[in-house]
Amino acid sequence: MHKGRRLNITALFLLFAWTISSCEDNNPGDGGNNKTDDSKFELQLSFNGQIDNEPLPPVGQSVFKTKYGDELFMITNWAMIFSDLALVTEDDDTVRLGDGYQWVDLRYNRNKFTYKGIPKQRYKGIQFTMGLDSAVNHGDPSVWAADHPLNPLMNGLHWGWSGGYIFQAMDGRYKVHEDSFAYGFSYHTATMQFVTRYFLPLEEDLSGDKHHIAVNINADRFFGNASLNEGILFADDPVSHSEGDHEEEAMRKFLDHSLYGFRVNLVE
Amino acid sequence: MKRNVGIWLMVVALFSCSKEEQAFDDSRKSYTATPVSTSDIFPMEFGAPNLPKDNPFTEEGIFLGRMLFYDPILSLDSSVSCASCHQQQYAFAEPLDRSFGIFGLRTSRSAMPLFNLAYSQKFFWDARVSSLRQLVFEPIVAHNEMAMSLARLEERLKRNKKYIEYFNKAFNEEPNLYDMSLAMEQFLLSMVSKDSRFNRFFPGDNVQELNASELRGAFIFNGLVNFDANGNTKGADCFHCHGGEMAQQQNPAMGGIANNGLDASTTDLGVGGVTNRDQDMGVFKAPSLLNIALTAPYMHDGRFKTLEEVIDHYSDNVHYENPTIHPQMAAHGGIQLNLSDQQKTDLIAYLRSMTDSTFIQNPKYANPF
Repeated sequence: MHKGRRLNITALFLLFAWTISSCEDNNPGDGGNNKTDDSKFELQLSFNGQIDNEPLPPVGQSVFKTKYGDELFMITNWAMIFSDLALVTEDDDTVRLGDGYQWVDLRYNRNKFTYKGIPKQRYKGIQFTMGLDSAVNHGDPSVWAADHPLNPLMNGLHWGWSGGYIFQAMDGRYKVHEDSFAYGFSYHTATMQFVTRYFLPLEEDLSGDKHHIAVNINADRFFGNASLNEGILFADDPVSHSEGDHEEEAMRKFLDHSLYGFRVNLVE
Repeated sequence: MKRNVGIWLMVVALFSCSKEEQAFDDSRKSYTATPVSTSDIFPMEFGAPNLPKDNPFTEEGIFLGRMLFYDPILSLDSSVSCASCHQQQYAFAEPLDRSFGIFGLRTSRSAMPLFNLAYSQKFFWDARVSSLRQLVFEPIVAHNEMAMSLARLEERLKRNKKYIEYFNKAFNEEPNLYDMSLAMEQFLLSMVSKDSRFNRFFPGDNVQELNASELRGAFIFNGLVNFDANGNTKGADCFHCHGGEMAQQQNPAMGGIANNGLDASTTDLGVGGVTNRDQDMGVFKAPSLLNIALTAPYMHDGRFKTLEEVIDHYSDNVHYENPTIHPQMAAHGGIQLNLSDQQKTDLIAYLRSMTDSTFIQNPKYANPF
């Protein structure tokens, strides 16, 4: 009886040891490389869609917020494509985050990204371009891997007809007053003339093992600044797809205002 | 004595049991499923689909899925198969506004066509399911479709010599529901339609593929709505919801869904019936327009019998007052497009260029029985 139990225990031990060794064989990249590089940190970068410094209302709810010109609006779709996403050092060198491309969807929670192996040092800002360089924008979109941010099947932001990507898409509904009919609005940024670069000041010493940078994106600021008494009225310009004189002018205004829409809110 | 008999019976049972398992193990060893490369299934020009990583394609898996798709054994009275409502000659839709299940029961919506499913992330008119292996169980258990209990189905498959053999070949397992769903997922994913003249024309380089009317239709389809001083528009902005090489809405986060203004107020909740959200009420999946000439009648309830009726709707009869109409449709200021007869004719000609006749004749998708 005792002998049998010993055999069972021995068998269980051998099974356990075999299981462990099998696991190691299956993950050669992880095995034996437990050292961490003390000179690097892990960054979580998040983009948070807002209206008037408050989070976007939950998806699917008809909650209208006020914008320039006392128009009311709600956002049903808001996504953008970035390139050259990087931290900028005090010496104006850049540390690219991943391959520099990212697709952010502010309505469907694709807005948090983790980057490992970032050098610990002081950074003066974060930069990115809304849009792509010409070669990538007009290149073959089918070359991207299934999980790459530029795969059109993933981001749904490729303008198949004329070629090229939609760099930014914001759609929703607006009312000219509380009781009015809710019309639609649609601002789609595309074509090389509307590639826009952004630099957000940071001035932080990122020397810990993990850091989090949160960037707020305020939608209402894309349509104007009430204090400057200028902006975009949906009643005049409900649509811009970046083509045609009038629509190009509206998109230019939209992007000029967008420079005030991004702000680093949190570094920890 | 009784004790001895009991022990003897247990020994016999044990041996017979292990003998049976041994025999099964032996048969499993004799089969190695043949891998199928994804590059042999999916065209480069469509881009890389996001495929399930735990269900590699094999010849045997795809074939088993095809058998199951065409086999009425999946329904309670063995009268209805998936193919009853998803018929190859109609791009795996059927020419009915609502389908017939067992005992002549009707479904509440029309059968959607089945192709290029690898490029979608939400399925059914109300986008309620996000994986094909999950999708296959829905019609099987629906009371007005196959009305089958899953336990009974598994028993049926396990007793069927043909399926014992084919599950073994595909998965080295006896028939079971999980592998059944994987096999059907493989078959459904493998159904690719890519050989229409529209596909050869896309993204607009090979104009020789289309005739003059179809080309004019392409410009209307892909043009933005922009009314001139006379209230005419050159574009109908179809491409926002039916764009790209697969003529479908590509925003996977939104599930490719939209309210296209069929009714003044919501009659069928659509996606809203699943999410219970205000903005989803009366919203439905916007299907691919590939093979659209084969998939009449149109819309979730089959209310339009012809493409002419469909175009008339978008041109003249959109209910802009519907509170959840797609923002880009409502951005026209509630004004009907009022397309001319020539524009409508050209649009329909363009839509007809999207028919892939090789897909509906491809023996890889045909009834294997």
